[in-house]
Formats: sequence, C-alpha cells, structure tokens
Amino acid sequence: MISTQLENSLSRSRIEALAQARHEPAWMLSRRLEAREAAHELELPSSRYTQVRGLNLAELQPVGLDLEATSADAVGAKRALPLCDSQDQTDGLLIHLNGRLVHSELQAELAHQGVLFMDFAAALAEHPELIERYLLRESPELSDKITALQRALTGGGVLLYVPPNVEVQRPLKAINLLTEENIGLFQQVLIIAEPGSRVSYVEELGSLDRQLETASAYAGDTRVYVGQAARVDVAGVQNWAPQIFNFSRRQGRLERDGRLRWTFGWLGGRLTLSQVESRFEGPGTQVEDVQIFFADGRQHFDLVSNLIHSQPHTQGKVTVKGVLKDKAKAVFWGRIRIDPEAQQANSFQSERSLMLNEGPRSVAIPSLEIEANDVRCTHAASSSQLDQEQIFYLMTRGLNENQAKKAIVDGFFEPTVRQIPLASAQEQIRALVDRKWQNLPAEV
Amino acid sequence: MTGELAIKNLHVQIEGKEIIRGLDLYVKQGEIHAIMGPNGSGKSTLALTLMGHPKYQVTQGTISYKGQDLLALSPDERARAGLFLAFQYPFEVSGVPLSRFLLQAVKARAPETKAQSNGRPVRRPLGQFRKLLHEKMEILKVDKSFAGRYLNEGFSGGEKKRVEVLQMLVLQPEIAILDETDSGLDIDSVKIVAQGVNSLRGPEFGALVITHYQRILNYLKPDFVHVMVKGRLVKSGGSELAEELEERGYDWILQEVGAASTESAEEKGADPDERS
Repeated sequence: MISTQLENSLSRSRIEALAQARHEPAWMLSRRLEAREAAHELELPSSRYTQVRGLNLAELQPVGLDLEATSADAVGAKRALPLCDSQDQTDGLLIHLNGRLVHSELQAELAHQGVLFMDFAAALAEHPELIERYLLRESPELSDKITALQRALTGGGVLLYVPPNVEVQRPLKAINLLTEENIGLFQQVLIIAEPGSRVSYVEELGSLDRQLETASAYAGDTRVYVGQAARVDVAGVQNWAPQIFNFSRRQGRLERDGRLRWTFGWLGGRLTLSQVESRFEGPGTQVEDVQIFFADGRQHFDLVSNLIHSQPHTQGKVTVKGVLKDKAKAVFWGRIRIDPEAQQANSFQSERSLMLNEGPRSVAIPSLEIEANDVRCTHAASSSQLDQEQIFYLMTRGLNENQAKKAIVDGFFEPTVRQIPLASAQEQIRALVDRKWQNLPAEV
Repeated sequence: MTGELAIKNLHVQIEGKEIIRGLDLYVKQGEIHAIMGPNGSGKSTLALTLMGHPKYQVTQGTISYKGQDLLALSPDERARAGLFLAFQYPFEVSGVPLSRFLLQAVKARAPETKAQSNGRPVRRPLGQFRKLLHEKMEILKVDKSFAGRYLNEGFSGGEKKRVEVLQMLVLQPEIAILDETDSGLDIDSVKIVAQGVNSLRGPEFGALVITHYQRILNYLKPDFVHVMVKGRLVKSGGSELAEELEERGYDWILQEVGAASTESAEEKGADPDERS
C-alpha cells in the first residue's frame, strides 16, 4: 500500500484513535470503519458528462479531526470574523476555518428553549443519542469514494436541533472557510426540525479571496428532518476559490404537512457535484428547490435534484437557472419519482440556461418515473444565447454593451432570486454575481 | 448651439437588400418632423439605422449630429450624444425592473449632460429620480406599479408604447425618433402620448415622428411633413400635407412621383423640397 496522507488517515488505528480522542459513541466508530472499508473499494463519482480530473486525492490531508484547541484558532477567528460579518440579522452563527470551529454563537433565548446549534464534533460528544436516532436512520447509500471518505473521516460540521413548536425567527448561519491547499474537508450537517417548528439555516462556503495553487476538496453530507407541519429553509451559497472540488450531498425527509425549501447559489470551485434528494414521506408535504449557478472558465457543475413522492397530496417544484461562459459546463439531472400510493402528487421541474458565448455546454437530463395515475408531473428545459435585439434595445437607452449584457444576465436571475425565501441570501447571490461579472473581461 | 441631425444621401442595406436609397433629411433641435408613407417604404429602417442597429448596413451617405459622425458611434454613444428611439416593437427584458433600468440609463447619460451644461440637472440622487419618474408617469397616466415591473414584460401593446414615451420623458433626449408610437393606441392614449411628447417641446427638443395617421399630428403640430416612398423622401410640406394624405391616401403621390422608382429619377428623388 502506498503510504500517502490520505492512506495514513484512513488506517484503522488512526480512525480508532481519533474516535476515542473525540469521545465518540461506539456506533460512530463502526460507522467510520464501515465507510473506511468501502472507501478502498469504491471509485470516484462519475457520470456520462462528469469526471473528476485534476484532484490528487492521495495527497489530501483531512482536516478538522483533531479537536484540541490551538492558538491558530483564535488567530483564524480574528481573521475570519470581520470578513464574514454580514449585515443581515441572524439568531446564530458558526464559523469553521479549514475544518476547525473558530466561532460560535446562538441567541440565549433560543438556547434556553432547547435549540441546539453547534459544531458536529462537540454535538457527538454531548448529544450522541439524538444524533444516533436520526443519522443512522436509513443512511444514504455509499455510492462512491467521496461519500465513503466523507463518512469515514467526518471532521466538523453542524448540528441544528429545533424542539417541537419552537419558531426560530431569524436565520442561523454556518460559514465554512477553506483557505489551504491539499486539504480534505469532510463535514456532516444534521438538521432536525421537530413537529410544528420553524427554522432557516444558511450555509456559506468560501475561501476569503484566497487563490490556491493546488486543489483541495470539500465533501459535505447534509441531512434534514422536517417533522410534522414543520417548516424549514435550507440555503447554501458556494463561493470557493477556483481550485476547490466540491462534493455536496443533501437529503431532506418530510413528515406529514412538512415544508422544506432548498436554495442554492453555485458560483465558485473548479468542479461541483451536488445531489439534493427530497423525500416526501408524509401526506401534504411540500418541497421547493431553487438553484442558481454562474459558471465561467472551465468550471463544471453537475447538479442532481431528486424528488421522491411516496405519499399522497405532495408538491414538489424544482427551478434551476444558470449562466455559462467561456468553456464552462453544466449538467442538470432532474429526477422525479412518484410511487403508486402517491396520488395527487404535483411535481414540476425546470432548468434554464443562458450562454454568454459559443464555448459553454449545458445539458439537462430529466427523468420521470411515475407509478401513480392521478398526478401532475411536468418538466421544462431550455438553453438560450444572449439576445442581440435586447442588447441593442438597452444600448439605445445609453447602457454600454457590457452594462446591457449584465442587465440581461441580472434579469435572467432576478425572478428566481426573488423566489429565495431569505432576503440575506438574495442579496448575497446578487452581490456575488456582480463580483463574478466584474472579474470578467469587458467584452464577454 | 442648436444641434442638427443631418442625414445626407443615406443608403442602407439589410442582408444585401437596399431599403433606403438616397435619403436626405435635416432635423434641428426645436423642430418636429413627421414622416409618413406606405408600408415597406423604409421608415422603421431609417429609425433603427439612426440608432445604429447592427443588422442595418449603411453603404453610402452620412449621418451626423452637431457635426459629430454618428455612424462611427455605437448605439449607446448615440444615446449619450442626445438621440432617442421610441421603438415600434419594444423588446421585453425579463427580470429588469423598469425603474432600476431607467435609473441606470440616467446615470449612464449623466457625464454627457454635464458637458452640455444646458442647465439640466446633472446627476440626480435617487429621491429626485423617483420624483421625476412619478411626475412623468402622471403625465402619461402610467400606473406607478409599472416602476417595479419588468421592462415591457406582460405589458399590453398600448402600455409598451406609453412606457417608451415615459422613457423618453425621463431621459430627455435632444432628438427623439418615434417609430409608429401611435399605432395600436386608442384615441385617448394617442392624446396622452402626444401630450407627453409636447411636454418636452422647446428649443432644445427635436423629433422625428414616424406615423401612418394624422391624428397624432393634430396634437403634435409638426413643422414639417415628409412622405417616404421606396427608401426616399418624395414630398415634403407643412401640416397641411398630412391632412391631404389622410383624405386622399398615397395613390396620388405615388402617381405624381411614379417616375421616382425608376433609375433615372434617382438624383431628383434625393431632394424632396424641389418636388413639392
């Protein structure tokens, strides 16, 4: 066996030692070890349109496994905090810098009501039964090497727990910063919204404007449990440095009358593979999934949205909108499954992309699997070029060509951005689109 | 200095087909010119060419404003030089709210208006811009809710035309080209739109009004009326010419200038004043 960073970290003894040092429950260790076995056998994720190239997996140093506080944490917090300081009002904030928790706050009243919003590693030591009850419930299959590594080498992450009928008014925000080369950030996010509760969770992934020479990887697994009649918003903005490989897997499970809204803005990174799976496990459940991407250079986004209707009277709506430039590539897999019992399901997905030049490629692959006979299920996909007549029209009002194109791009995103339930996430996506646009040369 | 839009011996092609075939026209600030003429005579081509539409190719002739060669300018530079086109078929731009877009346009034009220093406000802070926009909306009886609506998206034909004029009123051009702005409008709307145009009238505002109908001209009282046939201006006169056209149609002019469509009359066709 070649001894590499990753192999060392994956050794049985290393994993046992870290589980012990982190005071993890026994089931967590077996979970890690099981995934470790699988990691050796599974391949990197790939599809007809997407391959992972240019990531030297063997040399990645997994981070966030060592829990000892270091002086670097305080330095990191000092550096990270002002940059993360968002104008929006939050009820809680967690900041991880290269896998280490460097800042944590939660409104006192919420803590008093029993809301938990904390680093996943600490949560494992403090609330093992709670985590066990949800995390082990029908875990998603380990489908590839990355998902196995994420499970075997889980470092930090987030636990968010909202007790029954507690309504969290303002968003809880988790900021995840990756600023080093050759590291592997493997995270677990677990969100549990008990019946009748309400919460918004916003995740920001970024690199503080660091440009990396060599690749790093982020792999995150997010599990969301929406209890009966609970309402949950999960928003994520990915703005990694260009050398980062992003692997995100998210699963939401809803009980009767629960509502879940996913919102994602994909802007950074080199390659992004994202899977969002929504499982309608109770009647009357509703899911909305809004995703926006802006790809340039040789960026590649491979986005999967999966709606699984297993109960009657469920509603799903997926909206994906993206702008592509240069040689960028986007693949959208929209899957809808409607089980025989899921009568009166209403499921809709649409994917629209706008090309700024001739180079990019955008592919949409819908797949509908419908076994019930009284359902509505539709999909739409389109890809268009910038309209020269629109550009001319705007220019006759005094906007230069670049401004006119930007106005059209903004306009393309705007109706979808307005659908985003969190005002702060709306503003952030607008601002990031602006910034990304400004980095582009004048003539697009 | 009074600006003059000077079009000399203009020839324009689209996809190899010549549409405008030797056209001369001079529009000064302070003057209202109307262009009438049968369908397909090249009126819209003229309008789009003046603004620099990339599909229209000028093969001969010149267009200048205040001595500046407009043909060398991009559409936005022409706009900043003082031109405006109210489109016959305005484009819908999804997701771009009207007010945000207009504010951007006002800002984009600001440096030039400063240079002219005609006593106009140079840069309007947001509050002032809103006030101006609401004022102009009132003149055109455009509901305030339109400010937040996406540019022309879901507007009726009439609403689009009014919003074109609204844009003109906010941007305050020196020379405006109105391409069949009155087409498809009901009687009341024609009057409102005409009032809007008239609100700009003055020594600094010139307009080229392309229309099929005398009705709007009754309100605008143009200083000059031109008849365009097959890519040329074949007859010019005052308001009375429009009345005559409304009564008698174009047949008599076509007969009068029947020879104009033949090659031999090319030179004469270029100078409509001599004809009338």
